[in-house]
Amino acid sequence: MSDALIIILVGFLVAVNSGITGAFMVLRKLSMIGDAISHAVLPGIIIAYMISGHRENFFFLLGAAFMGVFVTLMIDWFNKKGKLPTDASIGLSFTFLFAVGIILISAFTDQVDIDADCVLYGEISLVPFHTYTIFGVEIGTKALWDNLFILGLILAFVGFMYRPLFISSFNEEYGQSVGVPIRSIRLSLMILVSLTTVFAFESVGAILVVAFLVIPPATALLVSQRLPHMLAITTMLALFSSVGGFFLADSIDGSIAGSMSFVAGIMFVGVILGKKFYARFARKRFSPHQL
Amino acid sequence: MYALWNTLGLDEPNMRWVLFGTAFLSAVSAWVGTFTYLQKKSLLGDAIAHGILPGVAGSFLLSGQKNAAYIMIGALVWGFLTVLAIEWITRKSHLKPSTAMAIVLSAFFGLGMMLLTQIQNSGLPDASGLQSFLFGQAASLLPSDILVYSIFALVALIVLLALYRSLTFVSFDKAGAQSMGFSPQTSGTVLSILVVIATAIGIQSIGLILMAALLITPAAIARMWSQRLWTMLMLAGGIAAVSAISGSLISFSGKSMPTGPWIVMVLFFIFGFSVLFSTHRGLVQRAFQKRKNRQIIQRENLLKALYHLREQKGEQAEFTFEEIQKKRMFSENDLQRILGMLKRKKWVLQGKNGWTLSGEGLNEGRRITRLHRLWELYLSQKMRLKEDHIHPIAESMEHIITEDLEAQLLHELDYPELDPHQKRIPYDTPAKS
Repeated sequence: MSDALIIILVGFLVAVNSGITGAFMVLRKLSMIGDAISHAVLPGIIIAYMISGHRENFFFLLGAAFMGVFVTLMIDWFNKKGKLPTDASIGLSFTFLFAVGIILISAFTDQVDIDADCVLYGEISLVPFHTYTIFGVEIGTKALWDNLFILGLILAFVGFMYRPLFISSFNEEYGQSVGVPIRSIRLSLMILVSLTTVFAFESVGAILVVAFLVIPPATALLVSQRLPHMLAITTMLALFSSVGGFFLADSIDGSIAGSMSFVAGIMFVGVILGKKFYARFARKRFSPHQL
Repeated sequence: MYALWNTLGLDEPNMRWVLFGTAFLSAVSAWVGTFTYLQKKSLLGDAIAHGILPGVAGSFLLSGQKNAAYIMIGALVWGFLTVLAIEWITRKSHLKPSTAMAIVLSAFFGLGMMLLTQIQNSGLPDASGLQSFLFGQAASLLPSDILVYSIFALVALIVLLALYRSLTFVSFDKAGAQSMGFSPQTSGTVLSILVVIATAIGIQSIGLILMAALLITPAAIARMWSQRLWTMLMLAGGIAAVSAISGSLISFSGKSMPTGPWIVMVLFFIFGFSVLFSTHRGLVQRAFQKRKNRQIIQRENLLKALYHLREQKGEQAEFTFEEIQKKRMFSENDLQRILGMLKRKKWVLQGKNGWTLSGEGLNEGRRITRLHRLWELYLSQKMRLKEDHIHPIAESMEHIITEDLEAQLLHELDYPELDPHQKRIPYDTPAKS
């Protein structure tokens, strides 16, 4: 596989993983919580690294899952016990945790073998150089396998829990009344977002994860009436933004992750405008005056 | 004192500029943040702060130098664009404002990243300095930079003071303000403009990514200590200034430590302290109050139980633990504790065969019983509730009804004799005939 193809594929996988989990966050009106989680995961992986001393995925995943749950509980707690408005408790929690992460990175640069720039902005163009080897045989790009693993996890979760996930995303009260364990569904979703974020870190960085969590699902939400359609359109948009972003970045020699999210944003605007245009066109064509 | 002054580096004029400059800028941001906090628009600051990046990078690309004035202009333009884009999306689609914010902030930030890589590849001499805009590097501030930021901060401050009344009115009572002729649209736009300025002035000291903390946290802390807007503003400004100064000092002490995260740490430390110990919302104080209330309720319930027993068994009777527990379920420990407390207050007396009410205890037990039965009567007569529904409500109301309310109840029910369960309503003096 050529490097360009690997980069596009990894970008696509990151966007799909984030898009599918993000779709449920957008439906639950938790977009900014997704932003908060993606920031809060940073200290989690660094502390996990400092405790274990390994750069192995398992510890990163553990640290990330823990922080993802921790930040949601923190937001809830400030909201309920501290009597803060929801938006203020979101902003307060994630700025604090992100600050902790940044301080840890800059204080322990010598001990921590984590590149600050890489975690923050991601370096998807370096992705093809990190490969997995088993028994001396190179089996392929690390990021590709990692994100495929997360994709499998997400698909398994959505597949097995489709009904309860579906019901509780649209109407939590109704879900509760028919016996959906809304609390555990909510927590699992938060964990999934955190896990998605960890591997998205390496390629697109901590700050731009939210672009893939929110923009493609929100775009899909504009033009779909059914959840399966929404997920399918999200996947398509993820493909377009990774391919489009790659070529845009290639042509201007800029950040690939940045271009990918910018392309996603452009597609969002395009869909809104296209919808308006279509509505006007349709109205003209089928207006009652012409009947 | 002078030694401290020196060790903090305050003998250098440059250092003084940086510290007092960032303190002033942070205070202005916190003042604007107080209003967004009250209007529950806190995350707008976060969205604007991220959305500003293309403006900062773009002005650098166009001018080729790190000049505060150009950067401010770029930041303001993109800040307004961010606000407009969020409004446009919420108007043109059915997406929630928070989703619109997440979309705009990440798309704009992505664009900013593209421009930043352009700058890094451009080989311009100042290129590396741009990193400081993301996490703040107060040490990199020059007096001339601070002057530029301060001018914009002053403008924001003047606008804030000029529109203080209408902003306050809209913050607390949107509908009321509208009915009095203040347009919430205009005031919302003004506030958005103020947030753009408040965010832009902080980019070099605290940085884009953590800027939201300076808008939200001081306001949240101040809200915990005060009920008045004016004191809240003073507190928020003071806290922001103190954290800016201490955050900068901490970051100067370590090599290549960014300022922003340390300011956030100091802010969060003060916040944590306030959550625990604030005078009217603090957890410690609330836990205290809760315990006190529970004790009062338990005490009143016990006195009521003793009064009921007395009604049944006659005035001379003394009651054992078992009898009391049969009347109302108290755990052994609770009963022991409350009886001990009441004994010390001399509201119950311990006789040979058990416990009995003293004169004062009798009055109190009678009062609670009376309130309970009065409320039951009120519920069944005036609210037309069924008899089997009224007891639990009266169980909680009996602890809350004040003397005024009792007088009103008596007046409205015309000093009744019997409650809905045909039990006598006990009065301190014989009821009006």
